[in-house]
Amino acid sequence: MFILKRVTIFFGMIFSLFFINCDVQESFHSTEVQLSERVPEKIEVQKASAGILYMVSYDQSTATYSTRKPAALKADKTSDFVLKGYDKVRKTMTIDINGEVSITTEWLNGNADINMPLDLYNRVSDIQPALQEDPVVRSEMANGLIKYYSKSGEVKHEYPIKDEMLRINPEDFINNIRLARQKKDTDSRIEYNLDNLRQNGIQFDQLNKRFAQLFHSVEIKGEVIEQKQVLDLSLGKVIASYDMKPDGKLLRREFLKYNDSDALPILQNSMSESYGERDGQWKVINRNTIIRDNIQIAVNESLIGE
Amino acid sequence: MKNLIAIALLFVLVNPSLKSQDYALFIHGFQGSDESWSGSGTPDDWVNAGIIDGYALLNYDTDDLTSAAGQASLIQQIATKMGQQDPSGSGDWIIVGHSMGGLVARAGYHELVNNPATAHFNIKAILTVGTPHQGSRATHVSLDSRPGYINVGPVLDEFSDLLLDPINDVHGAVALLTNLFSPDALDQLEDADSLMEVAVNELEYFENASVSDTIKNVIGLNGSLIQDLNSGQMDEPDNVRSVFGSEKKFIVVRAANELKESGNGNELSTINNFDDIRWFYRANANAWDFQEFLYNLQLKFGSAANARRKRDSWNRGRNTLDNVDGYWGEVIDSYYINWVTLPQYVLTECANTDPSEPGQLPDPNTPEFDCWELQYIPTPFALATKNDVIIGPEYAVWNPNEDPDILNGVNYYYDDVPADGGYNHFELRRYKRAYTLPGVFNLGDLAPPMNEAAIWLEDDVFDN
Repeated sequence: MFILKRVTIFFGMIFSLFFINCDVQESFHSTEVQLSERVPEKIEVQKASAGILYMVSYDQSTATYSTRKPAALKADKTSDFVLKGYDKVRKTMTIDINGEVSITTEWLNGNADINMPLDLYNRVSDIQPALQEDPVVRSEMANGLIKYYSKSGEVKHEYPIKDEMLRINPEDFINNIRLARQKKDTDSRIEYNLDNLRQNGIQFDQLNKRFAQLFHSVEIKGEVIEQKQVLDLSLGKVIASYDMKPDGKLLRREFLKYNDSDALPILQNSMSESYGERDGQWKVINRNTIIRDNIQIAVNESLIGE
Repeated sequence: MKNLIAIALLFVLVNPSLKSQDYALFIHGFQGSDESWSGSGTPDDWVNAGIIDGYALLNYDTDDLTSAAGQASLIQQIATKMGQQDPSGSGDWIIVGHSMGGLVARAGYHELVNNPATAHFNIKAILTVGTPHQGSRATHVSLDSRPGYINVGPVLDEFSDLLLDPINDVHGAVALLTNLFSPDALDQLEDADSLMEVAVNELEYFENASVSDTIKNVIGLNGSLIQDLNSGQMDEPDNVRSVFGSEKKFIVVRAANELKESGNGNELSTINNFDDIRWFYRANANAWDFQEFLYNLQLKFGSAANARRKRDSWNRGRNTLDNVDGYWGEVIDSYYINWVTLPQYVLTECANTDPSEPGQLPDPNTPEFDCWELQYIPTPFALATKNDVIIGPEYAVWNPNEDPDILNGVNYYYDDVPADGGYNHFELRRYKRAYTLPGVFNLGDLAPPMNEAAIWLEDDVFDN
């Protein structure tokens, strides 16, 4: 195992890791620990229409869970978590050739007020409070605004959003994809990403051939929190993250699973858990999951070139 | 002679001055006062509409119900109030009780008709509004740990923590969503939490050790008064009616609106405000989700992790607001559990499988991140019973085991509909609408529950 010097990296530092087709099959036995043998799924990239640089769409379910059980479930041992909220949406993000970003969201579980899986809602709808007649079914994030539209097309809610949030540099984006495509094998990608870490002065612990650890500190609500992140060098993506309080207690952990593609990896699933006091113990108090299906990616090949 | 009799009868029928006077005694509920009914406007509205000729308002302490001496005093107060309004005892009466006041009305009726000193009052009907005839489940909960009670303190703590957690990062929200805040926007955000507090304050009365056990023993699920009323041994008038409602979404918010200082009943503005807050949370979650995407794109790993943390925090807050009915259902112990099968992460057999003791940073060599996989497993979800703040419909039926959905001449269940057709526990008392719902009803329109009760009084109860 290569152990490099561990330091705090600068928050928000940009460096240029990139990602190419991944087919890592072998695990690296630098310790007794056997690290991942899982291969990210690869998504076929389609051709984007004229004027579009990049487009990604997916069905996304977001669920929030709690470990606090209602009195009626205190004795139940079949589930550690109780569902507190659920959304299922189809998201489409589009970057045009000028770098302007727009995102549309359509609710797949009925509308934005249902807050539970559609099959559950169908079972209990007659004993649930009635929904609004013209509920929110779609949202758009574009041109400096987040808008929520009702079924009839009325804008129900609208929020201004920082302009720079919805704009990226198209050249940088194109370069990232080009770089990803230039490296055809796992070793060269890993080596490239390691070089980038070093060249950018980012210090890390290398767990094995495929994984590295990054550390930095961040202030959250007045406390200095140490963050440890596990980087998959073959993807250039953080796949695990841990926040630790000054007293050594774990505050939050999360795991992220990416799909690979010829146009940058895309998050498939993630899970995060928050820790806190519950029943006199320090333990997981809630969990958030994001699960994506039906992921589709399209890029403008004429702009990317080869 | 026959003609004379007919003329006399006609004279009686068309001359209101010879008709008996119709009166109502209004009895407030738990921790209320005579202002509870007068503030609703219904007593005066009924007089102005010619439904009754006069009324009396009872004012009592909830404690009165918890002792024999208090109950005797209550009956005496009722007799005194009725006597002041109707000294000759020639009038026709209806007793109208809201919430616990409905129980007082039923018990009071039995005592009045069986006491020679008060038996002369012609009490023709009892109308109860949002009354827990089958007992109040809320008497079984406690805001902290107490033997024999369900501790709902953790429910409220979780609600508050999840709601306020992202607000502690509110400067981040302002940075993402620009030009949003009015000067009092933060107060509005925190108001979402206070709405629950306002409602909980009602329950805090149960924490008074001197009365909590007796309240439970009297009007709880197996309370003595509940058992008496359901024994079949209590006298009842020929005409009885139990009116109850099922609320629209955000039950506790609507109730809190009525309980807040103004008590003006204009729940629409409160709900709109609550809705704005709810969508603000959602917008933040969306914005941070996208911010995370951009950070990731730029390989700003630390910033991306913080964006995910904030996104999750706003999402939890949003879910908490969306699920405020579920939380309230737990607080008053009126909810049911449904199960749904969802993909959940489960820790699988893996090298060095025990990744970490909870609360400790895991061994950096442990591949915890690769030891979880999605499995479809049943997951419980707590849903609020369709209640009206404090009682579920099945507890508001006049007789045990009646189906609230079946109209049997006694129970009148005002279900909710998408266009704001539901009624909260306090709104039910109003004869006239307290606010305008555009396109549905206007301020001052007659509200169906009390209007239909008024029609029943005119057509079936009083000799008009």
